Amino acid sequence: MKNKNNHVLLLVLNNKAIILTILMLLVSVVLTGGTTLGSNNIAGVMRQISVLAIISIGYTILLGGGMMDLSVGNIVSLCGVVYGIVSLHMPLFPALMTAILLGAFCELINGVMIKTFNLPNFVLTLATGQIYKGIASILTDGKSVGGLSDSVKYLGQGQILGFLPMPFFIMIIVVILMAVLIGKTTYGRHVLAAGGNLFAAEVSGIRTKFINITTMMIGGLCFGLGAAVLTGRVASAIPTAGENYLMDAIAAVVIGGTPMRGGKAKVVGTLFGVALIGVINNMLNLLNVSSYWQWVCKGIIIIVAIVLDSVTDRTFMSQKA
Amino acid sequence: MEKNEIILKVKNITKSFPGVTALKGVDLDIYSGEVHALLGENGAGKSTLMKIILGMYQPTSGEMEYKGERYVPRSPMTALHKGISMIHQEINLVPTTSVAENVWIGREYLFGNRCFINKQKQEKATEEILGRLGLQIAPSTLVSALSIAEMQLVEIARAVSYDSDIIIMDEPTSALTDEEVNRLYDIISSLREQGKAIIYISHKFDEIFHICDRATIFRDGEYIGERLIRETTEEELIKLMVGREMNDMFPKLEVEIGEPVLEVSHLTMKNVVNDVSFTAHKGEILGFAGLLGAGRTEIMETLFGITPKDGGTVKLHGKEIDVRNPKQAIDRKIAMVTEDRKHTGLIAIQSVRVNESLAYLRRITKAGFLNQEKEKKDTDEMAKRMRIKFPSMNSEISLLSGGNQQKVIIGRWLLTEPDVLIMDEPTRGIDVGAKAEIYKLIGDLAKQGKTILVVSSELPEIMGISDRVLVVREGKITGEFSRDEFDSDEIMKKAFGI
Repeated sequence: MKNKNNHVLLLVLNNKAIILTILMLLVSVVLTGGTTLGSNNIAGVMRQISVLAIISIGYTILLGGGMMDLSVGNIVSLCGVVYGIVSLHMPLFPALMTAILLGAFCELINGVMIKTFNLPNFVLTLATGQIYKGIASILTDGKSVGGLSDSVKYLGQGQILGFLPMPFFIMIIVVILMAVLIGKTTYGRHVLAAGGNLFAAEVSGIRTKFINITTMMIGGLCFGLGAAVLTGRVASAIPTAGENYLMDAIAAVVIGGTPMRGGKAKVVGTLFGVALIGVINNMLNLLNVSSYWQWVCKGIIIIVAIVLDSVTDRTFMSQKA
Repeated sequence: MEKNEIILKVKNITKSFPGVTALKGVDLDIYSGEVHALLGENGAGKSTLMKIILGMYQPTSGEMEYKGERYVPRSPMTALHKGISMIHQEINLVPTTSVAENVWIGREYLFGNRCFINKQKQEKATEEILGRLGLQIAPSTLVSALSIAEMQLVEIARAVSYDSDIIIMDEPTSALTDEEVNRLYDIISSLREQGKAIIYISHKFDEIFHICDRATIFRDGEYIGERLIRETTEEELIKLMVGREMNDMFPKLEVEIGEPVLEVSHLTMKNVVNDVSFTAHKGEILGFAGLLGAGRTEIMETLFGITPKDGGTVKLHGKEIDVRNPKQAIDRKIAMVTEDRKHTGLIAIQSVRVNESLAYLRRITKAGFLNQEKEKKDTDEMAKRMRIKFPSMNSEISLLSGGNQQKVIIGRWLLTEPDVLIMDEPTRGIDVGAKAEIYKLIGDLAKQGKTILVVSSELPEIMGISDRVLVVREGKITGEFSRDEFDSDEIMKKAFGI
């Protein structure tokens, strides 16, 4: 009997993002008197969370592969600015490709530096993040890029199939691709092995340098794409637009169950981590609570998530006699 | 404290965890002035009981008596101040601080006032303790500059500095060379002379018979019995531990040795591997004996491409190969079970299945996609063949005992279907039952025609399973013995260079 209770507890703890999201949704419905479920509001939330989701999905493979990165927000800013500028002179598709590949290129630089000189991710990405941030501001002299084309805006604001917000549609594609990559391919296994124990992976015949660097680049593709959608959604490219995304992405990924120390990657978990943040932000907006309180709430949620993690570890690891 | 009277009495202790009962009403009597071996396979409940004695766990039921009084430790601090300390298997030192600071950590107040520490006083006291143990380490040395063995001796110094009456030692010799082991024996003997009690946890019988006075045996969380070492035999202890006869730990199979498979000549790597030449044959188990740090591991790592060679040639099946990384070695059907399971073997956070399939994934990949059905089938079969005990293939590998983890790692390499299997200390830190199974497996693999290179620091083991033994000293091969020439004294002489 005791054993069975444990299984239920474990199930709850492993899916805490989903459960917390549903709980917060219920709280939100009650507190706002049902406004939460209005179709306008739902579409709004979907639009809001899509950009964060695309970026967080990229961050999921980074963390799962053991490649902590603090330059993510600044890469998003830089890609957005470059995308904005390029889109003024080129059609949508080449501009979009530029943004996506630039994201991968920024991460290529990060990865090559880290692996070649054996640097700690933390410090190196803190430094390159400053560089990317600086370049983004230099390119526009610190100003926003406006007057963007309709196709750029369509990517962030439009609808597809008559009802689905475009960003949400893009997000779904990214989620599916990433889930397949991590869950079904040998490459995905190798990424998680390198994240879980770099030495064991190397000894098992995995070229960990290649894996680590490409892992970061795949994350970079997502950051570039996220930047493009973001630029379309706010209809201008702002050189500081990405800054808040680093913290939110870490929060979403960790709440979703991907451990900070790597070795596991929960794509769907991340999606619910994003949804949780979205629902809470939305509720506080509907209740006219200031954004300052939203930060406090996010902090508290992250703490709750990691406390639950640590409780899970202690309860289920100490059984080993 | 009077000698040879009961100092700690553990009575009918039970400890349940959710879903598991780790200890089922065990007893243990520890006598002062004695070295008491605690024996049992991994998972027998030894560490759980030690954690209870140290106050890290609270027992579900039962009680303890220490120096004639009821003893209920609430934390390791209580235990320490009452005079019970433990030297853990893993090093618990702060590498960036000095030896003296580590010895007195948490008791800085002994050497100063509320704010400042009198370093000279602290180092002087440390020197006194190190001297008593016959250690020549300056108290101001940074711990990070010490060898693993020295670190372990510093841990012992710390336990001594508490003036503990009971010192628990968990596998204290696992990182020590023979010389250092002898020093440890001296230290233990002198502690015993002073009337201290030592609880000694070890899987090595030569040590137990050399240094211990009494043994208590646990099996599956139950108390099995207590024996005086001078009145018992290795066979009896093993039987008590595993609950079955184990007359033949090393069932050496008669295997026909075939043609040369791996021909190594003049292999060199930096200054660690010096001009090593040997030939290993089909169906042969080739043992590598020697002291810790003799360069055996480095020879294997060079063959496997972890550290590529600088010179010499390696031929596999008559064809010269140049392995620059483990992937190339695996592609050429060489496999290696590494020495440090935790560091270079396990991916602790991942499941048994994922750990087992890690090295052969490329073979079941089509267009980048993993054939997960085949993976499931193969890993299930391998787990069954290796008789791995686990809650499920999907549970985290860190939940398994050391022996079962090792079987998963060996399974990982067998799935790559190697011709040459390198095993570096394949039975380190695992219990007798699992050891016997691994020996049998090695024999079976040789019979199937695999070439097996085994590195081991346990002489009985290497002489028990090998067809031929090479002795390595300072990166060179200094001796060769065929099975009918095996003689532990001669092998040790070559290992020491006498």
